[in-house]
Amino acid sequence: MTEASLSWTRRHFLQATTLAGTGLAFTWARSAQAFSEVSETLYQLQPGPWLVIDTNGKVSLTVRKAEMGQGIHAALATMVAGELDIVPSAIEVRQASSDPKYGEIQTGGSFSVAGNWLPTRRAAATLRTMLVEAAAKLWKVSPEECRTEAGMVIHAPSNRSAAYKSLVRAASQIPIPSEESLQMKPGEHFAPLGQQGPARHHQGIVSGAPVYGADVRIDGMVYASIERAPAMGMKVRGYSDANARSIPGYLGCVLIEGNAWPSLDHVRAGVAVIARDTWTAQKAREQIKVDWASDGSRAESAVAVRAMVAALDLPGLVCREQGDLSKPSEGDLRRISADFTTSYLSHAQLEPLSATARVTGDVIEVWTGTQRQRRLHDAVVRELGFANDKVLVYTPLLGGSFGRRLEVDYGLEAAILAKKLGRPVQILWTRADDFRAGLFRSASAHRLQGHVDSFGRIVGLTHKVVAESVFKQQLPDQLGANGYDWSIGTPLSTFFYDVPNLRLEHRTIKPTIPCAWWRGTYTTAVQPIAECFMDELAAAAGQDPLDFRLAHLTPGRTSVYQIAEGNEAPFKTDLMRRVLTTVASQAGWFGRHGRSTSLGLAAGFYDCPDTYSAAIVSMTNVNGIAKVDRITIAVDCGVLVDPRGAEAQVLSNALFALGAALWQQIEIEGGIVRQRTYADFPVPRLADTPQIDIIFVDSDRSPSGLGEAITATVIGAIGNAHTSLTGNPTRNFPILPQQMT
Amino acid sequence: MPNFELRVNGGSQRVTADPEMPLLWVLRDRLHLLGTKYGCGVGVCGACTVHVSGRAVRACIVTVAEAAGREVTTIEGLRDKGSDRVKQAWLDERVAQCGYCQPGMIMAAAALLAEKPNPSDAEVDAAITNVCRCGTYTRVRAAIARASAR
Repeated sequence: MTEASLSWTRRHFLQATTLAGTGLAFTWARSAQAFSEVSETLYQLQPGPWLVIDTNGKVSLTVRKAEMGQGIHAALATMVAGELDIVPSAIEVRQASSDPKYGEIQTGGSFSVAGNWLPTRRAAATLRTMLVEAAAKLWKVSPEECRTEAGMVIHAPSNRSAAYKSLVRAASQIPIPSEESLQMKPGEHFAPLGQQGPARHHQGIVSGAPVYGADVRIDGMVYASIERAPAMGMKVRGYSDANARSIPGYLGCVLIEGNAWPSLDHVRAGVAVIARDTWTAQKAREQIKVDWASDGSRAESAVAVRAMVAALDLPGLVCREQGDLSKPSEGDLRRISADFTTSYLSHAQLEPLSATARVTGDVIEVWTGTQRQRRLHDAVVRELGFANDKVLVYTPLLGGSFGRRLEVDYGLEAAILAKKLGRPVQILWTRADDFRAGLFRSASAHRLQGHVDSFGRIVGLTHKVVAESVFKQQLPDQLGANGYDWSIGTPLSTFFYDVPNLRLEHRTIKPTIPCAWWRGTYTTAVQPIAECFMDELAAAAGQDPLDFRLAHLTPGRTSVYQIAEGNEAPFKTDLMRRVLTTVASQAGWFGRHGRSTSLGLAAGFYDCPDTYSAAIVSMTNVNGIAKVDRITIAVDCGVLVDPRGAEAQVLSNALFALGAALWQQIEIEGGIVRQRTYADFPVPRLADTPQIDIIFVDSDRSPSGLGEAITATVIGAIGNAHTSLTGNPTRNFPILPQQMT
Repeated sequence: MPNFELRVNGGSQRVTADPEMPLLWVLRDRLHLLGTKYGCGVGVCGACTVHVSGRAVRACIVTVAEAAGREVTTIEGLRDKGSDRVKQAWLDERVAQCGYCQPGMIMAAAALLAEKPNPSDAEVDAAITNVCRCGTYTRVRAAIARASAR
């Protein structure tokens, strides 16, 4: 998913602010000066909606991006720091609330760095320009003769300098410069700033200070644990809390009726057990007897996957087509065909879902770790009847998300309870709840057919994928008239090898199992499987997998792929060739034969807007168990804003891929999710972690995203390494569901 | 409900609680020490790791009755020379991503290093079994190596 880039019109930019009271409660005034009084002695300058400097020199940046481990707050602070010539850790990052004045707020699609690269730097360059001009005016010199360094404006010819804080008042008299007049720092200016100490919120992490969803505390709050419908579609016929009443601290139960599924913002039916603390709520919940009424539907993951496989025989919706597959080609054609499947997958973010809500008069506030503040805001308005300007969603840190917190079911649960109870309430899901009432990355079925000629060229290729559609379940109006789902179509449409005759198509099945976005979603099935098939084609052609890929990436080709409606992804073969050859030389690809380890290679391209990667995975057989012992990844994501943060994201993608490729699956039997704990859904541990080497290739392109951009690449490389190790082509992910850690 | 004497982070407090109440929830909901995190509730993930009598334990499967009278240290109270080195190594290596598992991870690492100042790779693998869904493990290893090398 991409999102509109953060853009503020000139008109918005000229609106100034006054800070009323604390924190986030500010209002925009069209005619006011961009300078306002905070207290009798403290003034602040805010030449736009996001960035403030006060007369103590404190710089605060309001962001519309949630921090969930992807390091976006550090990256945005680095952009500001670079333009202002201060250190990133000096900047206070404030999370915007869902107040409509901030516009759409969501975090996703690996697009936060790319989407903020210009607007955030513009905001900071605007402030710097005003401070410089204020100093120049004061000193009666030309602004061009001044520079900034370490939070000061410096005029070297006259040996004068002034700290920013001393210039705040004077700068408020400087007209806000036009966007076109701004002098921005070059891309390579930013990376060294990332080395200057840890990100600000990291400093608190080592003493346990940061506030996550379940750490929110409100006066008078109670705690809830919800017994939800074990299977989708069940309703509460009745319940008894007779056995819970004697538990000290137990306060009562509240019915959650739930709404229809599939639908946008589905909330499961349930009984919320309220108590004075979390544990008492969980303990009392075990004593509640609920009589469930079934609607007769009993989702089965195995049945859903069989339906997907069966649908491979039916025609698909064409995502991209070129040439003529029916035309026989010259030469000795080798034709191969293979079917593949992937499983349903949970996000399994470490922090279980939680939310806290309070109703005061006609106002409702919700505190929750979410990637989509505005979606929750709108859902509270729609489902609970609050006025749009009477809802506020606040975002603490997110203890991981990976797409789960793009859904707002848990935030709505807290809002429903707060309204019904009339007092502040916090809900906390258990780990088992997180699996059982989860929304999953869809399973999928794939059929690939390819023809190679006697020269080892792919003459024709088809890839058909069948999956459940998130849009079909939640937002059918995002589908094309014929049911085309661009989120499934995008990883197909961005197939990047030169193939003259090509047909890429998809189908979706009738919704049976709740699905959601997941780190890379459909890309993590489509791309790894295409890469596994590339190895099968290379074998059919008798070629080395690297040479085979390079032969189908003609140097100098630029392609523009159609992705979401009206959006395009640019692709350059030269950049893909470079990551492939870089990873090959780093990982010992060329001397691999005769070694005890087996290597697998895969390439990946992600439209955020254009991240290129290639991975080589080394696998060995340890007493009959296939073990990944090294992962090497080359990445081209343009200019690096925060290199250590970027490296952390690639590491994270690699570990996410390891679990998904080898072990993880969600199984649903009789409508009920079988997995309950991390023992059932193995997440790699330290002992499973291979050596991981990451090479960022030099680039001066605008930065591109990383959050979910590399997961598919590593899954594909693991698939190919396993094929190489065992001689059996990888046809299903996870590869080794029976092999738990 | 019975009364328990809890010795947490160098102080002493009386808590009235069900004897079966896990130490995790006593810390979080009674003593307001929110740095200890809930991740699974069944001792699998390690997000709630604290020290009881100097050893790393998972506070979700230790009852308040079991912890009473023993020295309990949480991330908020982890303040000694060795532990400061661990924390600094964590910052230097920029280990944390979302950070949620990190208090437990740091508690596990501090307990390991207090017992074995120079652990082997195998000893680190065996001692640090905490789940990190973000995948910070390579930096966890680097931070432990950094903290142990001095």
